[in-house]
Amino acid sequence: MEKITSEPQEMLPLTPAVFNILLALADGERHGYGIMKEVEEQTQRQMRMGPGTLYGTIKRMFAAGLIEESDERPDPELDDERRRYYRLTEFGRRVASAELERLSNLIRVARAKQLVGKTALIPQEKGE
Amino acid sequence: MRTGSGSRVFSASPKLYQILLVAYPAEHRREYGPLMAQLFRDLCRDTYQRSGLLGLVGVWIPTLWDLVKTAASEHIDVLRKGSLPQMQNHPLIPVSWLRVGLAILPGLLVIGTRSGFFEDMLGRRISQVLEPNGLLVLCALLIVTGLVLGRKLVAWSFPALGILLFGVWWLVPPVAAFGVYQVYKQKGLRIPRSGKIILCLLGLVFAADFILSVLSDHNPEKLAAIVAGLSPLLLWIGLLLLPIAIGLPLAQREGLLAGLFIVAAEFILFFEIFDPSYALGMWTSNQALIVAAEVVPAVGFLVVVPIWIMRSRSTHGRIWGLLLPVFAALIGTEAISGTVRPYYTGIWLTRAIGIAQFLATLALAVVLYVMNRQDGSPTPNQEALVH
Repeated sequence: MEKITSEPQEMLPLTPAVFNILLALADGERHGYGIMKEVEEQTQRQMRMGPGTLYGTIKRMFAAGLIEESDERPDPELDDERRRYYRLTEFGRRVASAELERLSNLIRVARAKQLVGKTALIPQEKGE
Repeated sequence: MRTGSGSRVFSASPKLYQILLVAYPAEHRREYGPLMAQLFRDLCRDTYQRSGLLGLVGVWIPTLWDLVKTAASEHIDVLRKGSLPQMQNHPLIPVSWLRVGLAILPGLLVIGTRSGFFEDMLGRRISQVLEPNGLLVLCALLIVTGLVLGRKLVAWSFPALGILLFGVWWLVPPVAAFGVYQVYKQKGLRIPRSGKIILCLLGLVFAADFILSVLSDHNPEKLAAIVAGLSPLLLWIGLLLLPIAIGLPLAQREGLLAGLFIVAAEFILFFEIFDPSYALGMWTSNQALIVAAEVVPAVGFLVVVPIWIMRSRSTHGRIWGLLLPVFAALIGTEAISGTVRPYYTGIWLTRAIGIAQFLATLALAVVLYVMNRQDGSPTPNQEALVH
């Protein structure tokens, strides 16, 4: 993940860290600690990224054009000015969608092969 | 907010983490260090408020693992992106076979005498004259001829120079120390930070090795011997890393001349510290094996490496030709000699001499190179090939 490519498919498959950060930023900009907490929440505490992993991944995502820094602050009075906020770029959003589609396809294959258990929390496809 | 020892741990944690950030490469630290420290501070604050001291322990353990893992990964990234791609791969004109032949001539003499080939063919007396005296005369002749014809130290005489340095190592350190001081002063050359760190570590390990050797000599228990064996292992790792940290950037920047001197230095180092035939002699009386242990490294260093480097058509090929045989030889020899070294009481002195020789020869390489460049030479990569 070192060059900015025009095709989202060229970035796939994403690592769990990258994909989770993309998901964490999908509904708005966040700072590092905010991303960490959001990732923890969205993975039901199954994934906790340390500061090294988080900022190492952010660095690579930034270089790849998946995310960008935001100058906006939710409330300067409540927030530390030294914090950096990140948000998805348009390209990052397309890459996240492409990865979701890839994973959906895999789930479809797994379901066809009856590998998916009844208790699995997987959305049913239309028509099923 | 809680109080007591937990509170002290809480307030000390972010400071300690900030100190530990030194493990990351400087550029990464500058860019993300404050952010990582702030994130860790936030994490500690929330966890301590929620779970107290035990919670902080739960933060520290994965964070330390995260730090070790990601710091290593960032350093590898720097090496991958920084050092190797920056090594410009210039096309080169290979040196003529005549000059390559002159470069490997001393090596062929060494191999012929050590393998017993000359003794079988020419008789014991002639063989004994050929080495060491004949070898030294040949080396001196090659160097002088090169100096006369090329009006400076020519590339094909470097292996000969390396062999001569092997005999007069004790002259090298004071001259080199002065020379390297001059070079640093005039040219502003700087040893890379990683090289300085490895040098310091080598010094520390050598000191530890000395102390442990003395201790194990007075306490011939197996455990003591094993402990004493750890520091030579660390030293060996350091010696492997040193050419990468210092030699590679030097060869990259200063061209073939410096590169060949590193080979010569490694050759000296190799024979002084890791003498495979000596080590093998402690295991077996099979003369053929012992002779092979002497001859194979000589073939590698004095024949294969000069041919590889001088016939190389690119700078990348030359640098790999410089480094790979050195590492292969060191690793191979370590496999033979590593097990006997803890019991060899004089090894610390031999090793110290070897390190001194290696560093001194390296320094001399810089001095001679700069002297050559001041002579109005063309580009570093081309100059040694022309002569």
